[in-house]
Amino acid sequence: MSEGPAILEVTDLTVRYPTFTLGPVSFVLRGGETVALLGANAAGKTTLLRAVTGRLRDRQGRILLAGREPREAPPAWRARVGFAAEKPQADGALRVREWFAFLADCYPTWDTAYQRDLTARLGLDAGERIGALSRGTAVKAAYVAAESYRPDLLVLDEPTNGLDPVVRLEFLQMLGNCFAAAPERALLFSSHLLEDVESLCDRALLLREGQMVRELPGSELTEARASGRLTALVADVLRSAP
Amino acid sequence: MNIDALLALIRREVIRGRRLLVMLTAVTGAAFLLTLVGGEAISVIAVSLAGVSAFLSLLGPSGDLAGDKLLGHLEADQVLPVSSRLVAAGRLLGASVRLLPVVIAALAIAVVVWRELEAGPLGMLLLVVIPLVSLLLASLVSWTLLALNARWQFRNLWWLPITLVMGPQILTSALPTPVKAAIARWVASSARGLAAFAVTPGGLVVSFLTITLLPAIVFAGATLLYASGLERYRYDANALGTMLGKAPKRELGAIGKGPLLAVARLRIRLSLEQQRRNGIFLLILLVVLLIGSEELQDFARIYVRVVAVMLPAGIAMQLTAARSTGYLEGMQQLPHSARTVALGHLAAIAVMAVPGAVVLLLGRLAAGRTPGFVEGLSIWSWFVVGGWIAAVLAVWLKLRYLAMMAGAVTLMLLAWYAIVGGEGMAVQIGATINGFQSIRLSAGAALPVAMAMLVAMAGVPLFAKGVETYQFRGKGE
Repeated sequence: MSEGPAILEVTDLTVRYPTFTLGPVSFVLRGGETVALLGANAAGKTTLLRAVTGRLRDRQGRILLAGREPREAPPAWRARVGFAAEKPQADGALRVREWFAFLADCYPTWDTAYQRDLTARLGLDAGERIGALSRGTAVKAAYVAAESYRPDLLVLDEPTNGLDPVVRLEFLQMLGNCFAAAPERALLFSSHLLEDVESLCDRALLLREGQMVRELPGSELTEARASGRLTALVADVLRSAP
Repeated sequence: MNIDALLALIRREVIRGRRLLVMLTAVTGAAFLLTLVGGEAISVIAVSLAGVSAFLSLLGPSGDLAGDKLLGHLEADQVLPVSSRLVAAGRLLGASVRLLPVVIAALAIAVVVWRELEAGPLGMLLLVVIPLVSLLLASLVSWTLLALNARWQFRNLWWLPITLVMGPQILTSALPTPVKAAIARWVASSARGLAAFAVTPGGLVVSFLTITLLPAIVFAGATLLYASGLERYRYDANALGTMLGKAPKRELGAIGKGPLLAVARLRIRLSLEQQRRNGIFLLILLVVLLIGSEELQDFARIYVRVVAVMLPAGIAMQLTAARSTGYLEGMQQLPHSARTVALGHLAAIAVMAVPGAVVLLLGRLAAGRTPGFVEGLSIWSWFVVGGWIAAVLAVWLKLRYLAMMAGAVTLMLLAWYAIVGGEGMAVQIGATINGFQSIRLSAGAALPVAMAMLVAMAGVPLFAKGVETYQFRGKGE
């Protein structure tokens, strides 16, 4: 585990829905870490990600982002977290570049040169309308929007979902490079693809039916990866009865 | 204040509505040109056209906001690194920019008024004052609509306008006569006092300040209300699911038992989910019609019609949502002919038209009349006609068809005008309306039943064509 400063501290986070409860969940993300969130469908991954990014406000427990509870922090604090959902959260009538221009004026730390670089590297056509984007292109646009202001914590919900193999590889390398060179930042992402976990993350959190059932530390991950047992290990944990 | 962010929010609001803005600006612009070059009758048509376009421009921002709430896009505004009030202010100001068609429509009206009054050069002032005042008033309405829509579910507030109008009447009607008389005296004396004060120097100053400050007060209030709504907003994924018209498994399972029945059941089931609240309102209104006071019954009679129409019309709303999000492809891919799918929808509308018709009949019964089967059939048929036309248009109508129809109507009106002139048109329109009224009265249920059969026969192939030719190209296209 990284010894960097704590970027995200989650303590006893609980979210209750009529038919589902997430938590209580606790974990810490430190600067320089890339952490994967694994779990079956409807395990609560997206709920957890939405909660830590401040999108889900009806919750219990404590979330500290760079030392402050997002619900109580001033609006400018929100620039410390970036979230890329599967689809851009923007009106479909906007073109991608218009959306980026809007965000550039709202986020003080937005780096237009960096955004252009990411756009070019991902082969994103900024002239397309958001509503007309294919699944993979929508993921790319959402990622560029969340990363271009270099938040302390970048949260990605199934980032490689819908990407073709070539772009996926490029994307994973790009993410790896970004975070290897940024000890003051952390990446939290959900995925169903263990190859992504293998290639990118230092640690994995396993979620089953709303409960954090296992944490795979870097050493165990490396060992399982080396012995080719990672898939079996994760499947065993996610399958076993609570 | 973060001016860059404020300008970005205003810009985004304008950009997202640009298609409608350009279209309505073009229509109102054309109408304005017609008022400049056309005669009296042409001006009346042009001003009416401009008025409709201006009204539509007023509703655009609220429609976008409703979509944002439904799709969860408002969450993105919640987490912007700027205050909720700034987001609110940007959106409200952007909505005012989108009212450009109102300014042009008001200019068209100003030209007509100026000509009518033969006001001369001084009257040129009208050309400035009328558009400015119109923009201001439209902005006040737009801000209020947006703020209410942000803070509450707009579609749940449909009862508010009529209640505000009828509420005081109902309340005062329940008071004893001496109290009513005292209130009337107090209102009259207060009005006289205010009128007298208004013409004093102090009154003039207060009036001027009120008129000048009113926009600022409404803007501040709307900003606060919108910001409060933004902070309280919670994304509800289920609301979207219901609106999109995803098929419940049980109803899809019924497809093997007969496609027409299965489609009808699907739509009825979704309507019952979406219109549950309206169903409850209908029951409450029925109780009011049966046992309420006279004033309450008057109130209920207006509402019953609105709610009754909403039940079958809800199917058209489902179809609109399904078309805009691609879910109509589900209907397209059913292993049955598009005409069968269309008939299934017609059957669902026919069923959903029944409760409203029954409540209206019972209301008439409570009022001392004895409505027969024919009257019931007549009411039900009108509901079916309205609901089915709305459903067919929701599936079949494309911008191209709309433009063709608008073009055909305009050409027809122009030809008519050329043949009989403006006054002749007015006379013939009046005669047509009177003729329709007399046919309606003398034909009884035959007219709505015939209409229902006619629109059913004409609508089924159109609906089917709409389903067959539907091609989802993404929301942004």
